[in-house]
Amino acid sequence: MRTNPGKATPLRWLLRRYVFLAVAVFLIAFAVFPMQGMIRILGIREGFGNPLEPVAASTAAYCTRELTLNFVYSPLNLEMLCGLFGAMGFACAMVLFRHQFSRKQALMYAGLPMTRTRSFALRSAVYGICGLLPLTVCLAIHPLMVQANGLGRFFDLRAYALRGVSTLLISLYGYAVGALCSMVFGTFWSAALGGVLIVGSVEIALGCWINIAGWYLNTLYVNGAVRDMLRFSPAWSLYKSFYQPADFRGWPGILMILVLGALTWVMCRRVRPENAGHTLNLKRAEPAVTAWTAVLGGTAGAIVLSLYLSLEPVAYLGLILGTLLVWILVRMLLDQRVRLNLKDWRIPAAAAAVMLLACFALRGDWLGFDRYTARPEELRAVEVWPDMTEKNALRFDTPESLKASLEWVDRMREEELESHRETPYENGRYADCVVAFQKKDGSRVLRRYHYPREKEGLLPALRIMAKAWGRQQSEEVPLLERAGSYSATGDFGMTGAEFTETYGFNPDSSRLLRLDPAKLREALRQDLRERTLESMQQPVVLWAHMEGAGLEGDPDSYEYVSYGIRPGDRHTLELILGEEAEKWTDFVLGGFARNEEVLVFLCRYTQREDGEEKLESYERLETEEEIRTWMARVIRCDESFFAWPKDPEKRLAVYSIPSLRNQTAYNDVEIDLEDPAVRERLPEKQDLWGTYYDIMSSDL
Amino acid sequence: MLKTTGVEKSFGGRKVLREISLELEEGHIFGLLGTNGAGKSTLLRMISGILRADSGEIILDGQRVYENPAAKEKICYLSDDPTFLHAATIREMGAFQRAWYPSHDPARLEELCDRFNLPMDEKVSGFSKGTQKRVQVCLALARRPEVLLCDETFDGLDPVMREAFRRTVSEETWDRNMTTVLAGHNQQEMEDICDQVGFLHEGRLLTVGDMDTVVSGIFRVQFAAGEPVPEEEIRKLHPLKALRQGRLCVLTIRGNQEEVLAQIRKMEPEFCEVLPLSLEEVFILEMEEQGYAN
Repeated sequence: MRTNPGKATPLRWLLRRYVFLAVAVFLIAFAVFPMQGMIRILGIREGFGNPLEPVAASTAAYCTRELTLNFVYSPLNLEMLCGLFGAMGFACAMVLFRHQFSRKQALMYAGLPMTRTRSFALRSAVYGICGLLPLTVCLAIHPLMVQANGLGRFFDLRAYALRGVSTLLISLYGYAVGALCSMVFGTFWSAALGGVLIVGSVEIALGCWINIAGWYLNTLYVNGAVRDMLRFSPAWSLYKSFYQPADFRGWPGILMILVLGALTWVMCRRVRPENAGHTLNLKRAEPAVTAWTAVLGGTAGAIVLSLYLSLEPVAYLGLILGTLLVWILVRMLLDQRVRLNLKDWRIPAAAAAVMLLACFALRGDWLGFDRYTARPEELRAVEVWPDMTEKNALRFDTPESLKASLEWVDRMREEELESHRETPYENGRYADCVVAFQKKDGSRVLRRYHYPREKEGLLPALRIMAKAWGRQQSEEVPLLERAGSYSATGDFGMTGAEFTETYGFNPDSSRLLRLDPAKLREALRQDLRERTLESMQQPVVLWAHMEGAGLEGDPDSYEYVSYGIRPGDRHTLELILGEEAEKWTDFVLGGFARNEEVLVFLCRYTQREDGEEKLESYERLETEEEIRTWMARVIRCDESFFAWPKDPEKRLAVYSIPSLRNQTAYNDVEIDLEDPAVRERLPEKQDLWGTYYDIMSSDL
Repeated sequence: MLKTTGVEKSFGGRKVLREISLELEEGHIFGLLGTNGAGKSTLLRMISGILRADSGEIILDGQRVYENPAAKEKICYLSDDPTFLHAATIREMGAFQRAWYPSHDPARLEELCDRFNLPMDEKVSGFSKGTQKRVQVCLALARRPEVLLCDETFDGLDPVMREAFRRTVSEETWDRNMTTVLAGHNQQEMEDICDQVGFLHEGRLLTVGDMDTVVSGIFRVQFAAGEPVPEEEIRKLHPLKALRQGRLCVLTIRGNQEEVLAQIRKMEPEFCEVLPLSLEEVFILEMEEQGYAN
């Protein structure tokens, strides 16, 4: 007679029953990791021949990137992969806990001689074996295949392992959400909807409410606020860690997994099996679910109706209608019948009232958000983001610069509040910038200011004070150190010929090419760091363009940087021009005036109604001193144009007679350049080649 | 010994069991009779550890049952609606039981299936409801539980099978000193095999005791006196029911039969006889006394 064998245990039985999950997960994961990896391995073998032969550093870097991280991108993108792994975990949980969706099954399992905690632990163990293990195996197969194909030296195991960990965490997060939903919701569809609600609703609601707040709060930097909030989103943090494995930031995700696990454990002990099969297993959760879905509905209603008609009352109407509609839908879903159960009317009413109250609070700026002023003693630094991105932040952290920047911020805030209330914004007349108040406690307060461009002149002083410009550019210099190939050219302007004529020295662009790149970089870095407000106000005397390809081994990469070299950048100038640097600077800043063949005019323009400029008057600058005075106020590069406001009425026109002779001869233009009267009226000839310089506004 | 003390249970604010106190000895079959919705299934589920009591205790051999695997291993609850794993055969259900219950005996299962003509390797979901009930009982008996809780288990079986199973369950109870509880509405069946009985109505356990005591606790006496018996004399007997047709009186009385007969004899009846009541009649009388379906 067969006796009861001791090997039959609940875990073994569960594993045998759910082995199909392991097979399914393995097949899906196999199609992603080993299969996609194999395609890349074959491609690399085909493209680079014998893997044992030495390859260029750039090729090695390319292969490493392809084999380690990029291989899973195609044909799926990262978002789809995250969704896939999360959904796999979620589906595993739904299958493992599906007895919760049937009252009969729930009662049968509740009768088994096992504590609920052990039941939960056993099923989680089964998920670990049938859900995570096949995924881990597939993750492990890829590096083995790489090694077997002799490409091991191109494999970055650490980066791959980190992405693997993120993959497992995403699946685990899906499982945790699925397990909780299976406990709280008693039917398959309500659990699936609940999962979506748990994963996405908080992010969506936050995003929507930040946008709604943006309608009311003038100084709210919506993008920054969304980004700041997303950092704390579990799903987003895991996605980011998957996307950039080396920069792991999935702690909110891990925390959420633990919280969900603990909640599921509590729920599995508290949920009554006799309630299984109901839309909501846990009756006590019903008001919370109803209230939250009503809030989501109201939020969506307000946003959707506002898209059609951006009027405030319409948004309020949308908010109320959305709340009502979703409440009715949720009630029908929970009751499983078309019946308007009015007994819980207080919940949607309270949700709508809270949201309306929030709108009024935002409208009236009850929390003083727009009037926020940082106290200098609590600040470590102030950052100004002129182009609204953190990348080009100007940082003020010395006592003087902090004080100056706070004064500037005060003025901008006043402008902001004033302009927003008095007049509508006009494109072009206003500029946006973000101010980040970095506090000593490590927190950061972001505010967006919308200020008139005519006040922009205040910004350059701040820029220089922060030395951020030079620092920012000096940070670009190392990009070239990573370049596989490197070239540099110089732009000496049209006055080069006159300079040669004057000094017998030709500052051609090949001078830069002959330089040692390392020395040039060092000279540039030194000059950029030492720039001052005064030196930055001087005009550019020389353009240095540098381009690098094959950065960090990537043959497709390309970097291009241009530096306007000013008289104060003496290291660079001396390196490029040697002893002639001083002469060249002198020449560019007005020395060319000594050449009788160079004529300089100060032109005055007026703005016509159609936007066109009209030459109003002009005068010839005769003396060298006069020319030097105006040349000192010339804006000669884009970066300066961005920083220094130009005088819209004045412009400097410089004509070189030899160049004009060439032009007239080449284009067959009839003009007597030898006639002194003609020479005095050159600005009137609009089609002549000249060099036109914008003049810096005196409003600095 | 299975003992419940002051057990109470509510569903959504509605109390379905109140102060249930019960002691069930090994080797006995306890019949739990109750009206519809009286709480029979709920009580059995609580005894089997599926549901948690809101208050009170359920103890098996000195151990609490709820969330106690050691105690739950000894108990087998047969639901009125048999539940099996999705697409499982009897053999697979046996494997399922074997994983959780060390006492499960696969050979015993095969023997029972053979005896009751049940194919081991066919999907249970394809069987008729009656056959599924047979499978359920076979699986339960193969587990060799110490406590067997049957919730309307024999309903739906044909008379032959019902008799066969009743016999098998009785034998198991006596042979293995098992505690068996049969809940349902079939009083005749219970009267036949139960040695203890309890009446459950609206969550309250009204009557509990040995079958003989319960059945004999209420009796019907019929007598005829020379003269019509005065109403006051009849009232002194505290009848549950009284029927008078001329000189003939038929009284249904709860109490000590000898004492009642002695009182009647004082009325010098021309004849007097005691008519035995069936369990069903006793149950109906009890329910009528509670005002049920009046």
